[in-house]
Amino acid sequence: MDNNVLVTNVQRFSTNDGPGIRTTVFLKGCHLKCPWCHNPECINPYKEFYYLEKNCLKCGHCAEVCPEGAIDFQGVNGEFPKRDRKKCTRCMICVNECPYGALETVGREWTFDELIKEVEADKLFYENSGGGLTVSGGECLDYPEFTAGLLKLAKDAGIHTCLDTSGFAPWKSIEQVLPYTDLVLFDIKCMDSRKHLEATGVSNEIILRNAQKIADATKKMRLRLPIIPGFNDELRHIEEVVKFARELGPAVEGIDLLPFHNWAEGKYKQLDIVYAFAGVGALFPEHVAEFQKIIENNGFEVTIGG
Amino acid sequence: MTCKDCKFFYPVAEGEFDYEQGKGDCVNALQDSKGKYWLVRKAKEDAPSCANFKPNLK
Amino acid sequence: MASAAVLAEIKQEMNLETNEPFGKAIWDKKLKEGPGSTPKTKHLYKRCRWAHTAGGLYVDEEIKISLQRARLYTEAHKANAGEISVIQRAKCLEHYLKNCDLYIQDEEILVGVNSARPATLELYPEGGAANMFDYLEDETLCPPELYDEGVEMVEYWKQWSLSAMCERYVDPEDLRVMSSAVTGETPVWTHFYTNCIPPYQSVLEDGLEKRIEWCEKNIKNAKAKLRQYPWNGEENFPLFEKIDNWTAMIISAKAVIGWARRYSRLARIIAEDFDLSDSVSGANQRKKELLEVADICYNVPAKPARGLKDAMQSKWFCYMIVQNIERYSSGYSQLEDDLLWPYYKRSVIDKTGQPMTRAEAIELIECERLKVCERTVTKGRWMRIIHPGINDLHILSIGGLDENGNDMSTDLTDAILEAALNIHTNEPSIAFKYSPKINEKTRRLVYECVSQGYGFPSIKHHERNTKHSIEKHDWPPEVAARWALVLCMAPGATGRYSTQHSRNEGGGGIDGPNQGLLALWDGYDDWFSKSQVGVHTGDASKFTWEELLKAVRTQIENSAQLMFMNKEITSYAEGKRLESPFLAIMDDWNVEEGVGAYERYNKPYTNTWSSYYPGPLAIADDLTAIKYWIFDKKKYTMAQLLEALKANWNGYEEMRQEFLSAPKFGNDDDYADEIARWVFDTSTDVWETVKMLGAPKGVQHIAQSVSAFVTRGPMVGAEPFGRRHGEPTHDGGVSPYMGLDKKGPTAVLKSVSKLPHDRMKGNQLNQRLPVGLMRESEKGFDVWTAYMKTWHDLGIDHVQFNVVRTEDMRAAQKEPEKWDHLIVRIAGYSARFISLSKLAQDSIISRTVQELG
Ligand code: SF4
Ligand code: SF4
Ligand code: SF4
Repeated sequence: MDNNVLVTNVQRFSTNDGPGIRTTVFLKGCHLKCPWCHNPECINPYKEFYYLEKNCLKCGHCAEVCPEGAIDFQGVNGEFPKRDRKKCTRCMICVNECPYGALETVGREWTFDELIKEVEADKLFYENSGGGLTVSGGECLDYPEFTAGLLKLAKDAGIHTCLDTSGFAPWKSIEQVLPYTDLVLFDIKCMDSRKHLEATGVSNEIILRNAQKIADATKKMRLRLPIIPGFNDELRHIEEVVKFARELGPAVEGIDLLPFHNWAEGKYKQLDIVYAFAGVGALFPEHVAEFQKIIENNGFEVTIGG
Repeated sequence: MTCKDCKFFYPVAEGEFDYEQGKGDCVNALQDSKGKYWLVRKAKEDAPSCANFKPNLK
Repeated sequence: MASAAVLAEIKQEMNLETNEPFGKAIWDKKLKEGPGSTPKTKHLYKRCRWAHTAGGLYVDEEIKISLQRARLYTEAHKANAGEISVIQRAKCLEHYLKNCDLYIQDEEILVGVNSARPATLELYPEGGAANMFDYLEDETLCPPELYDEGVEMVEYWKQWSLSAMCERYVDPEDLRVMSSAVTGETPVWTHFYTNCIPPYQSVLEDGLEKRIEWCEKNIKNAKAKLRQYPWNGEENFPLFEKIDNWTAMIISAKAVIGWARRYSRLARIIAEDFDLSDSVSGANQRKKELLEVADICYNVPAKPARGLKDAMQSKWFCYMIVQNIERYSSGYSQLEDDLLWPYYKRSVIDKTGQPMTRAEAIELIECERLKVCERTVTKGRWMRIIHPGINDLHILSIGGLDENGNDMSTDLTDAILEAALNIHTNEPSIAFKYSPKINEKTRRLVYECVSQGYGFPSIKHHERNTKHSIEKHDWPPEVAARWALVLCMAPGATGRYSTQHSRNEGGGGIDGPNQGLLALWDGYDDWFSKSQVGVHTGDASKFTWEELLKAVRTQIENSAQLMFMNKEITSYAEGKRLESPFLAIMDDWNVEEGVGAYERYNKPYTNTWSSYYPGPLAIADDLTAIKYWIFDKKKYTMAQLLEALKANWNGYEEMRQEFLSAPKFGNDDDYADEIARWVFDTSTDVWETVKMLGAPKGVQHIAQSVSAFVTRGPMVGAEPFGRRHGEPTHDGGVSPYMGLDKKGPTAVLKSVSKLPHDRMKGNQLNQRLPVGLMRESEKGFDVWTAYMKTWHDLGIDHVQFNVVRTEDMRAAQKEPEKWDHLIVRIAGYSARFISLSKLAQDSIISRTVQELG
């Protein structure tokens, strides 16, 4: 069994992670380093903490208790406390000691019992909407046993299951989860291997090969295309994806365009991470209308926003 | 001049619900910051005419 | 899955050629072109005399009081001194309708007003001194030259007013408690606020002339009965009073016909003698319109309505009289699609009477909506303060199923919704009687209104509410099926027969949070009134859990008792002093029996209910936090808690954080949800134990809030769940405290479904849904439909939605002038965001946002 799998969030009433109303379980940890990532708290596989400035009363207690001297505090009249995340060993003492709830842990271990109970709570909504459970991340395939186990529990409870993945995983891992997966949500960031490597830190060969294999296994899948300004918001990219999708064959049920949005900005700040997309405007459906048309013209069902 | 001689004075016929001897309706077009409206007020026939008075040429 | 054909049909009807999501397209179109589907309604929207209040003040500074109604009523009251009260009331109405000023505004096709000039407020001296002084002493509202005359009137009415009469039955100590506003709504006679459902059908179908004949026949028969040998006192004695009632009905109905015909004359004079060249419809067309208005106002309400135009006008006239002139009565209660359908069908579909196109019908409905927005309303400050951003609780109902379970929505239902989409006004709000059995087009239009962010239609569970009325009020199924909301939340019977006429039958409420707090403080309120307003329930620092629950119940019983007593006293006094003979002649039961409008003995369909507001969930969250930290975890003692609360949590921040982190209602957590169920069951037990007149099964219980959750903040001390004194209280009837529902809308529904809906008449629930999903995505309708299906399956009573972006609300706070179109749902109604107080705005913003990635 995978050890220390951390869950950052169990999101009920998810409407953008597969069909219908779903509950999405986000696992912590991912090997890609996409600078636009919407879930920066899901990148590192270990526990971290958010700093919520709106709750902070500048009491300075966190600086006092930090054994590493990782928090710089200049007094009540100075600025808000600053954390040096490099020095921080994530002992979480400050988090437990902050009296005002301004420090909050991200990532906790859940038992299967807890998780499935939470997932089953919305069964009625799944039945009425064609929804179910989505396991996402981070990269949930980093924890194939855990993911397969959770998906299986859901299947046994009669709940529809989705796997949301970047595709960057050993085939062995994928093989483990596919039997319990009804639908794979498969991210495609860019078809050019070099560019992919530059942007995300990994090249896309494994990813594309995995996509083909999943398709060959006749698993239903939807391709999910994050549309990122200045990176892949161009016709050529869409045309290439469509071509690839055709090669994948009938397994591809449809394509979801995910226009860039900047809602994650707050989370970056709370994690003290510099956000490469700070100030970049969100894309709206009208920005991708042309892409939508091209995909449709090629006979694929397409959504904006998943 | 009295209301009775005014263009804006309308006598109320006998038998109408609001008929009252010596009284009639005064109807004016008015305007305020929002818009125009037409107002009817009860007026006495023999009341001295007001600033809005216009001779009845009918 | 959503049907593309349905969407295409709607787009075509609304002239929208676009591939964008419908909600976004219509939103953008309105921003570009302004609301209104025709030049006429575009013009009327622009020059609309909005008459809403904010913070208790009228937003339009031109609004002033007029004493015309008060003066004419006082004159007639004096002239008829000593007359039987109900006839005196009829004569007052008659005198007013004969002599009041009337006006018709530019472009109007629906006429009839309740004020001497546009933007004036009429007063009701018969209510009592408090309500009169509220207006007379407000320099922003009272022109100085009216003050002395107003005071003189108050002096005269002192001996005759409703408040003077009611006060004599109440112990001064109780009067002090009731007037403190801490335990619940202050007595009706202090703010002169009431509500009703006018039985419009009778007038639209019969016309008043026929009803006058009916009364005359009744009098004739009664007199014949008196002459019948042998004399029978038992039977004959009651006839005297009936004859008085019929006489009063006749006087008032004749006066109303005469008044409507004054409009007819005015319209004709304008058409024939005045310059109409600046009309947006063109002089010729405008002249034609005015002549048609003249014809309509001659015909109705005297005679049956010939088509939709007559019906709409007849309804409006009745509304003006019943809810604005004869009395002030809040609301706009009706089952509008059912009421107007026969006339719509005749005019728009069959074209057999007053033929018109569908687009013309929609224009007329848009005019009606604007007319409601212009209604000037006079009600006590207390009521104005708790209704910010609106004129009044204007809520009409549509939809539902008939007694056989068939969809009652028609093309008119759709037209009403389309008009609301076009004209973009927050009033009147619409309540939709939801069932998954209702056709997709209508449900789609409901959804589209919700997506626009109107906050309406507010959605009530059709079947559940119908069943409740059959079981608890004993209404026959065909009556129970045709309910409309009386104000925000409570269904009442519609039709011709035995509708609700007064707030004393159904309405009013006690405060939620304070019942729990009084139990902690031995009945003493140290935060607002600084006095003993509850009963002595003992020193809470020594309470066991069971003793605490018992003390809470005792406080609820005591506050409720005061409320019920006050309702029945007012009801009695209304019957004696403030009868409404015109409302009586509209109702078949009153005409049949010769009884006054406020009679409740032997009334066939009673509607006896009252509420909690703000929400009783405050008690639940308070008790849950106490149980968790004091009785289960034993980390704190009751004494420590009382100390922290006394200090308003100051100096106890760590402890406050812990109490805040205790389980909370709204997260699908049985620990909290079971305590909430106890609170609701206990309160409902208390309500059911009470036997008001004509309600053998007890008073029906509703949890709602109006927007009292903000304004009541200062009246509610520090609370155990972590709230400080002054902060907003729990918002809706069953809505989780803002920001404390952490698990999103599905978990909220699950928690709410654990409450005893079947025992209750209503439970108001606010939800916020993301704009991106609702207005800007293609799948919003499918997701919402599934959500609604589950809501319906769970048997939850009600839900209403805020679909508004946090950023938009923030922007509106900064630049209000650019955001006058922003509408938000507050409580039982929708308000213009920019008219709300900063505090109210902030608390709406901080309600949980489910903006999902
Ligand atoms: S302990 Fe918490 S509240 Fe105090 S300064 Fe640190 S983060 Fe802020
Ligand atoms: S978590 Fe990091 S910042 Fe906090 S006390 Fe530990 S080392 Fe210091
Ligand atoms: S009041 Fe003035 S306008 Fe009216 S009828 Fe008299 S004189 Fe004419």
